[in-house]
Amino acid sequence: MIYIFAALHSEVKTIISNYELKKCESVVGSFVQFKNDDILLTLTGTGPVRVAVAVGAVLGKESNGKWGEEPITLLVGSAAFSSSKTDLIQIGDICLINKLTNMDSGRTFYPDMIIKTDIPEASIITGSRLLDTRDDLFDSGLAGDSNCAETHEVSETFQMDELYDMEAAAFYEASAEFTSPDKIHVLKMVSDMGEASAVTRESLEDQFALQYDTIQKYVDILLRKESLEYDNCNEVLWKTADKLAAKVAIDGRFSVTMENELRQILKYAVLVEDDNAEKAESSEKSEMVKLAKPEEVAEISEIPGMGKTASGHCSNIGIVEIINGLYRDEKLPARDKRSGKEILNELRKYVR
Amino acid sequence: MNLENMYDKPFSHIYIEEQLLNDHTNETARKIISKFTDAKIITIHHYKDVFNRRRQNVIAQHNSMNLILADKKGRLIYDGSPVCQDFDEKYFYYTSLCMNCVYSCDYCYLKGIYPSGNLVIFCNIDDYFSQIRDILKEHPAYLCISYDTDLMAIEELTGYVKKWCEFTKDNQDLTIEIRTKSGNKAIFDDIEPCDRAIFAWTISPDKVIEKYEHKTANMDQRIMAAKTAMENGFPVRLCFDPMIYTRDWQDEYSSMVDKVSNTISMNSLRDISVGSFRISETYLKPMRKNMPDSAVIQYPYVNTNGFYQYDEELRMKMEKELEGMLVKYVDEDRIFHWK
Repeated sequence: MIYIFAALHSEVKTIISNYELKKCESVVGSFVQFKNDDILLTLTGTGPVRVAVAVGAVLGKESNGKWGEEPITLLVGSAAFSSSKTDLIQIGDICLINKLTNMDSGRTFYPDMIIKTDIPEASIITGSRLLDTRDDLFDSGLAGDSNCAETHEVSETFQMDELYDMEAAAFYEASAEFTSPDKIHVLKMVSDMGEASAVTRESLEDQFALQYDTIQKYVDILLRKESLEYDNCNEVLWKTADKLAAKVAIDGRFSVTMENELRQILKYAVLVEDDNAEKAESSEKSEMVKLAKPEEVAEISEIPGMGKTASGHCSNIGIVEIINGLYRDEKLPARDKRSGKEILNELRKYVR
Repeated sequence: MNLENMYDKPFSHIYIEEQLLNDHTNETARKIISKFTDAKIITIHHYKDVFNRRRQNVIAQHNSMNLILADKKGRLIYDGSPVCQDFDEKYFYYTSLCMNCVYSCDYCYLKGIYPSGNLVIFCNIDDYFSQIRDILKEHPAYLCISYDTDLMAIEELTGYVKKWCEFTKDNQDLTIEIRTKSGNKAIFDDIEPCDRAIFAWTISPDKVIEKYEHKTANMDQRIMAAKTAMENGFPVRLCFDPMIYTRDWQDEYSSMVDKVSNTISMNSLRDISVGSFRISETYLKPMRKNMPDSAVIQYPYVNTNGFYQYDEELRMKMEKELEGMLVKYVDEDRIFHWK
């Protein structure tokens, strides 16, 4: 699920219609939300406070706080261009933001820029009020990067682009409470050169519609990346290893420390056996893994996924077979804690 | 499109401290930036603004490593760590001109010690020279300069190995060690030999390199680079450390020793170190979280006094068997064993 935020409906009207997002009952205050199976889009209203509250409310409810399952967040919106280098950016350009500064606090944030994309990048300053002219921004002392102008000879690609808006830095700061810097993204369309009065609902809708392909391409990359990361995850195997560790720990009268050690042995066993099974698949003559008959691991294979490697084959060389043997030999369930320790010693041999 | 294709190329973005960008005298920073003309340059106030952000996905960052250029302040020369081999040197120090490594070894403690997978290069090498000179006024020093990184791997960017060798040549009481997994041979045409600049290659079996030492030079390349260093008059150390357990470790390490002994004159080595894998519990925990699919990280190590390692029986067996293979080629008193 990708969590998209926008201040105004006109900024995401095209996204809503093209991704067929349906208006849903909002469970986070008065924020209007749209969704499909892959995207939850929230309209926050303008200003840093509103966007921070919206992000906190949505991610606080939706994210599970688990490592490796952090939510992907994307802010889509408009911004004014504040730099004097008007040959670099034009009205209507879409920029991916690589540096965000909170005008009030002076704090600066840096999302991880690791995705391959052609979208030009810019930095942004976020303030809490609408600025009428670019002079307001320069007067603040934050825009212009006057020091950097003197070092232009260092690299021709050095960026001095700076946008101004009322949400981006707050969005980042709020999102950072729930997710990692590589999963926080900000796309801004340059709506004006510092003349806020020139921006209307209709002009925003038109500008975003013109840039929709660029936005869609980026959103699709995020969706695809999330899907691939999930496919690569061995979550089912780890949960299965946890279940098996819990079962054997109870039957073996293990202490918590012993159970933790067994869990680690099982994790290692799964990883090593999975490698062996992959080699067997790729080489018919490999003698590294002999495929077992399913009924030989029937007891343990009742736990979904266990006794089978990620590729779906059974291995009869390994921890599962050892555990099955312990049950067959009636060493499990253990008579007492001492017997349980002997069982763990047998299982340790698997990794030595 | 697969996941790997979605990541941007390494050093697509270079973060640089504002004061460094404005320092026209710092050639290191300029030289590095000039090599990446397509890179986006982003100014920062302090390298920790990027390097120390919360919740960073170190593994994702390793897939698309970005560069941070900075000046390091404060103490730059540190006392040697107890988990590292000191080769019986009394005044054992290490220093870090870079944080993180362009290589990506699964078991590397850097993945547990640093909050970021991006590479930091400190551009004020003269300050490092100044601090070690102060130490040398008191007593000699044995200084490891490539622990938290692989300087040989990025020599083309920084030129630091050459500078350190030249500095060492001028300072008679200094001995340095340059640890590496690189196959870089060309450097030895460019630096004058110094018998106190020890080049130390970590040597692992092919299987371990393939499975766990990503982006590094293969064993053949490392051995050939070591051979070149020796032929050019540099003292060379081979580090069979860390030894990594695999099901067929005995065969793997035996093949490795055969290959090494067939390529270089092992009795001409300065010395050898042997040690099995060990790591502070502080580092292993985040590494296990970040790398659930790495067998070497998920191995059920035993915690002994705050360090995770193989259980004593396995550890002794592995190290003794390897030493047994090595003594056929090298005098026992030149094999250093981590205790």
